[in-house]
Amino acid sequence: MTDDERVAQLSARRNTKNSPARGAKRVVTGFSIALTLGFVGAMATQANSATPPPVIEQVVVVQAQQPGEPVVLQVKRPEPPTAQAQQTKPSTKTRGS
Amino acid sequence: MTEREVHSTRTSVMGTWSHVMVVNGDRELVQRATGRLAYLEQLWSRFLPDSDISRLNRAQHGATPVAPETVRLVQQAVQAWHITGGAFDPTLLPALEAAGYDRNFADLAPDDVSLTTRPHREGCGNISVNAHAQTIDLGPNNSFDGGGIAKGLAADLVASEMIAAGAAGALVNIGGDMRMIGTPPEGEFWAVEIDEPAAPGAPRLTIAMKEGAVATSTPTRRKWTKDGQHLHHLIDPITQKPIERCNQLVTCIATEAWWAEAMTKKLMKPFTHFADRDACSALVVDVDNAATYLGGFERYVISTEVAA
Repeated sequence: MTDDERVAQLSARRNTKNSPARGAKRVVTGFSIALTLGFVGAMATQANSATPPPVIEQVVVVQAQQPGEPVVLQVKRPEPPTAQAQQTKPSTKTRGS
Repeated sequence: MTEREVHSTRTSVMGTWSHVMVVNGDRELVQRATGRLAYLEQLWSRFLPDSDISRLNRAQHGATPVAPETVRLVQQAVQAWHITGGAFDPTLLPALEAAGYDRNFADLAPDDVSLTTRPHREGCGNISVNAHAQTIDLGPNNSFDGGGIAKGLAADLVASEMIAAGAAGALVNIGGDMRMIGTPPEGEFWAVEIDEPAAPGAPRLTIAMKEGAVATSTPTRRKWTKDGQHLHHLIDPITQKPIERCNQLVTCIATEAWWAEAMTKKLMKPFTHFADRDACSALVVDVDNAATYLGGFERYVISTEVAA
């Protein structure tokens, strides 16, 4: 079974309780320790920011190639706006450069 | 509600424009921020012979002392390379130069490029970063180009520094790659207009978030032609040539700008797989002008004004 097939199977099981958009979990195998550590490092960098923690929406479980417990990581995205934000004037612009 | 005091400035840095804003902070912080951005350009520009990046690329194999900020830049870029499985690659400089982008873009005449043979490339696997000694070894036959991720990280660093210096809110936007922290100029959310020429009838989007980062990439600005061949600055790590049928626009929302920028590069290639671990939300506009939302991007959209 490929990684994608395994993910699809797990998602199908969980979708009986959870919407795919929130609380979805994923098991990914075949990643190197370096990848895992790199991601942990990236998350640690975010944790070091002098800002309130962003919304945690999803949890990804990455299983290293070597034996051991899977590493649970928190995937973070900025907190989206509420309805009252619709009146907010743009502070700046984004464009490709 | 007490009115917020906002100071801002717009200037040029890193080969593009920048916008710095401080909310309820000392006016001097804006000047300090622009000075920091200029300093980071001195460290990271590949067009300045004495920059850390130029020295690294000349040194090739061997540990080279660099500034702490450069250690951080290379660390983040290598992390992004690992996490994206090489879809984001900061070692494509030879391919970029071979495609003709071998000088500051402002000095690049549209038909003044020479295509050379496909260069050798090593990726990030051989890059060694010694954070304690503050040295970097790129490994043999390798090179590094901070490109967009340098702009993103600069925005992250300088915005955080303004908050640490006492500002209630800070925005640093470098050519569209931006970080927003703390109190916005009005209301509770930072709002950002996606300023791209939309096709007639297509919506022009405004997005908003509590705080976070936004980055946009497009092949439509840094482009040139040679012998009828359309070229641009977004290189495919596999072919080592400008991406074919490149997506026309990718805007990513993430918690930090260096990561948002890295993800725009990953998603520029059409039909790229989007995964949970990508930790961003994205707008992707393909070569046929079809727009796709990924990772819940639609939750950030507060306005869809239709272009005339």
